[in-house]
Amino acid sequence: MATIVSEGLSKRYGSKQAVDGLSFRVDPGSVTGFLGPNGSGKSTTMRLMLGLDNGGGSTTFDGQPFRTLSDPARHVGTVLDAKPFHPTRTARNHLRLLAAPNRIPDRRVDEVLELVGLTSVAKTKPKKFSLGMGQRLGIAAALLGDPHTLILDEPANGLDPQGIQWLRTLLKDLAGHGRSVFVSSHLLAEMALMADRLVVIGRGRLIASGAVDEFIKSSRSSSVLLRSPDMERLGPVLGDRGAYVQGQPDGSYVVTGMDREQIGDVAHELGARLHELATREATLEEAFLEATGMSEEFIGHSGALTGTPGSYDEGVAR
Amino acid sequence: MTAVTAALRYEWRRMVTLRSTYWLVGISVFIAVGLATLIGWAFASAPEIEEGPSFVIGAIATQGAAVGLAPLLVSYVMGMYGLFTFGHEYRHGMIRATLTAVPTRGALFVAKIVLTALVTGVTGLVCTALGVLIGNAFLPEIDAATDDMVQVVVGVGLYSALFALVGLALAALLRNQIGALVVLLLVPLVAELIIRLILTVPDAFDDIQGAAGYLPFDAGAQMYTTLDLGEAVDIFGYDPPSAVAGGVTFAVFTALLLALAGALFSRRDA
Repeated sequence: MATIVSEGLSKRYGSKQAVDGLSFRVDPGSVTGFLGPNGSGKSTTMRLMLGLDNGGGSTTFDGQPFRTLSDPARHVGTVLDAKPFHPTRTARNHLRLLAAPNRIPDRRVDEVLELVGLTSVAKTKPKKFSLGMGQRLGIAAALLGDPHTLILDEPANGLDPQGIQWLRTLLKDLAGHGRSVFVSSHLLAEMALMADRLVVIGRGRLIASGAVDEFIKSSRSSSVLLRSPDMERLGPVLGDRGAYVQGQPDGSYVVTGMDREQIGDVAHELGARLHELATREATLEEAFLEATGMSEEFIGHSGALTGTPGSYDEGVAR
Repeated sequence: MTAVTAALRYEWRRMVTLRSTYWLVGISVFIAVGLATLIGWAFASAPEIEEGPSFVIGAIATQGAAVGLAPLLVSYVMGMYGLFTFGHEYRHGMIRATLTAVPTRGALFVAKIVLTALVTGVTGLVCTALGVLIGNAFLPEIDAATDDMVQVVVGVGLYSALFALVGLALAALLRNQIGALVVLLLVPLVAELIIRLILTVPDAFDDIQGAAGYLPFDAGAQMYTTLDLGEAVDIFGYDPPSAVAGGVTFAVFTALLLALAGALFSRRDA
């Protein structure tokens, strides 16, 4: 078992509600992606889960709050900051330091150094480490106690493509062995490859949680490509029944708000001929942008620069 | 209790894997041995002091501090040690990693206090004991096996430990190494002198003039001061507290500061 249950997490900085009554659970055997726009409260949520920030709500790991775990590194491994180490303490000593209170032997320290590929720099002072090497050291620290649960804040930051692929394989493998992996990332394409489940937040509130497939399917961006010579009859009926039909330059139509089966049934009902009927699934990116569109904290106004001087158009960004 | 032992294991390894530990202890020993040798040699070449009271040895061992002529150097170095105990956590963003390895904040705070007090206390004590031995080697006619010398050695140990704990508390309170260092230097070296000066302006604060002797760092210094040569030229006229009263004053001050730092540490976001 390695179930994480968070209930009613909240945190306020002055007048800003950073995390607002956030509840979710993470089950073992899956990589659960934690998504949200910049400033939506992902890092704060993770710190709240670990009792590092003080705020409302509770998080338990197999029923126990983090602060009450004895030898916590044997239960929960974490990556929180990009370079959380003293610049002159060697990589190996940094890990031995974190191992000491958790009664983890030096043998294991050498193992995780090997696992993340830092054996050759084990005796090196990490002040010379690149961001990627620092990240690997952080991941090594998270794996020290062979924990059943991993909480990782942007662990792919600074990793090269090989490193990202290695991390993906590692995390999927760990989840495959019944561990819980809760990982935040802003790299959606990466998340689409890695995560089985998602927790999506915006402005500190839960927007969606569940399987990645469901999340993508629920997106209005999922559409059906339709080609029919009887479109004059079929089109209005689809529109009447709640679908949105958009003609394409090549003579085909894109239908949203109705799935393939429903469209097929309507066509059958009207005796309309179908030459092509195909589902075009939204990407995770499309589903994410749609889900978080209204809750984004910092919106870049791409159109603002092209407007005429003095006539600012409020509606440009949306 | 298991939380405290886990935190002690962490703090111990933190201490032994840090270069600054060796630097600061090394500098303390270097100062103590080097300066005691220098001052001892100077005294030995002045023939009239060949025989005399043991406070001369105390002055050699503490670079003049035990006779009220100078600040106690070794305690300032040990103050840096205490300051780094928390300062490094914030300076290098270690604090979150630390608190995920040792999530019980109270236990971590206690472990830091215990090890800091031990390391700095023992360093202060050993340095001063070495200084006494060196002083006595230069002036073999003087009997150094006196109660005063025991007071100097033990007093420096206790004062160094308390001084380091003040540094620890300041770094935890301010979460800023430089800021804490400035306060740690300014209070004993400048602020207390100014307050004492104001309090002892003749006829101005006669009723509370005695309080001038209870400024914490100054009061704590009575622990290792066996004879105050400054007193002889003191025109202000208040009686300094005894070694015990002074030590208790400094200890209470340190404890209050630690309590405040500890309370904030357990409540703040890491």
